Amino acid sequence: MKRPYTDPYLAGIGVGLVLLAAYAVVGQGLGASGAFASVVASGTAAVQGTTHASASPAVAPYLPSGVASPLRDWLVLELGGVMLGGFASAWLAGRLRRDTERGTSVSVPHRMYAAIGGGVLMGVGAKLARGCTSGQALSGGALLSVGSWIFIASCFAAGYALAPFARRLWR
Amino acid sequence: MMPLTETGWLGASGALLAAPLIGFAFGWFLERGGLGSAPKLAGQFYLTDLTVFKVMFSALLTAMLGAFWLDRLGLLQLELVFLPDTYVLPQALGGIVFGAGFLVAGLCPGTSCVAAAAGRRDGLGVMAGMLIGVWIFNMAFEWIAPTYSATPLGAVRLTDLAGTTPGVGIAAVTAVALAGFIAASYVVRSVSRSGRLHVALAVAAALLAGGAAIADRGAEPYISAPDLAERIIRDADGQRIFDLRPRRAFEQFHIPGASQVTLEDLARIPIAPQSSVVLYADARRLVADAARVLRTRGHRDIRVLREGIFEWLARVHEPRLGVDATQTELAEFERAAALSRFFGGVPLSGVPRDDVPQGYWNGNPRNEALLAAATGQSVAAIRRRGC
Repeated sequence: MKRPYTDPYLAGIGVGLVLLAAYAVVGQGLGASGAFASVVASGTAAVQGTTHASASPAVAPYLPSGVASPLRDWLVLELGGVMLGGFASAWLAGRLRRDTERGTSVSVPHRMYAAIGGGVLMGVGAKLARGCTSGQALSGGALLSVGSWIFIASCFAAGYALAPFARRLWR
Repeated sequence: MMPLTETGWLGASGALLAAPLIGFAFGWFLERGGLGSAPKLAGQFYLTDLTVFKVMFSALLTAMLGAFWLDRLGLLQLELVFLPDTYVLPQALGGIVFGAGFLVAGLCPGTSCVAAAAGRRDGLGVMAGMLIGVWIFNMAFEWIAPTYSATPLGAVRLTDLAGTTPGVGIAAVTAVALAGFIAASYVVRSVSRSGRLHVALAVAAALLAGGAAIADRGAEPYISAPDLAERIIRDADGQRIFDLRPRRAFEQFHIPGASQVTLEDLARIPIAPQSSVVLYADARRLVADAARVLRTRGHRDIRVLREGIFEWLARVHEPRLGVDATQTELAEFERAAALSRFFGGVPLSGVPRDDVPQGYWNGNPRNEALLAAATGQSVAAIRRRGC
């Protein structure tokens, strides 16, 4: 049986306490897009060879031997945890099912194109902004980082400005 | 004591062990709140479902207030928590591209993983798209790089820009978020059974935020270099200026009347309890620590010269007027030139634009390397002149 969702404010407080725990334990916030960047970097290194891949300034920081923090891989493990946590919660709430969620007038293939296309845009945008809704908006926003608030503002401004043109996707 | 990894309580392997646990809880609460369902998230953009806003901002408030109070209770050194660098242009553009993608995908990177884990194929699609997007960015990086590193501001907080204490900034953000929550309750009228709980939570947030503003009252507000100079000229008795930089830097050049101290010195040297204290250093963390040491000794009148010796050089000792100076810069220069002569400095006019770094005049540097070079140059010149 499907259980109702938790009150959004309580769920939000839960997320906030997790973020606080991340600050307190590892001295950095949560992240998601950084883990994707790590995966792509490792993939690039596997295909092209590590030396060649490390020559790219966009890839190098995400390779284990690269210049950036060893906590880069932390994000991959964390995101693995996110999937496990999401799975456990959905399972216990009876929300686990194979499905393609979409607007009622949208076909499954069209929904998948939109999902992939939206993912591509977010991949580019998150790299350009140095983080996504988790790493930039939430984690930096709670520390009052100026760039994080610029990201929050422009992200939602774009979403609302373009929403009328994407109405068919969600009707 | 916290952050555990930064203070040596937890090693690298311990941190890696904590990662999946923290991630698990993150994914759990996202799914509990309903953020594993794309149509629900997309509802945010059509004002039919404001779950995204509610979860995101209550999480933000919780972490912000929690971090502030843990820091003030001495449990967490907030200065050691990683603060991302700000790059205005790429973050604004990235936000726009990301926002467009979020609208089309109906999921963000973190929630796409939750959706996929709960069996949603569209979640997997978004994850695949993310990988492709990151790959495209990497391929095109040479072309994107100038934009990517444009308009850097460094690791800067909203409160640094506004010149307020962290507590006041936190109170302001909390007030705006609570107003947003109230507005949200009118946009989507829900038959909520937890109205009383929500009110209690809002009151708790308001109390913690108001407390933050009060706790920071009189806490290290900034003093500008020209104001400090005028205070020195007036010879405000009972004013103490402490230079927290290394002795070598102090011996090369320092603000007249300043004494060089370490944190240990500050904890024990005699300071008249009613004296007003001005602090400066190269690192903000050091200033924050020093202010804390003084506060525990009961001092309340603590002010910080935000950009340290650089601001003193730029705005008092050696003001530089660019050949193409603006009216504001000219006005600042006139004020600074008089102060400069008083302190035996040299006001320079007709300076090439390149030698007047951006931010020189408001003491709000934009390019750390350039400014460090400018400071070094000025100090070297002053020493040659034998000041």
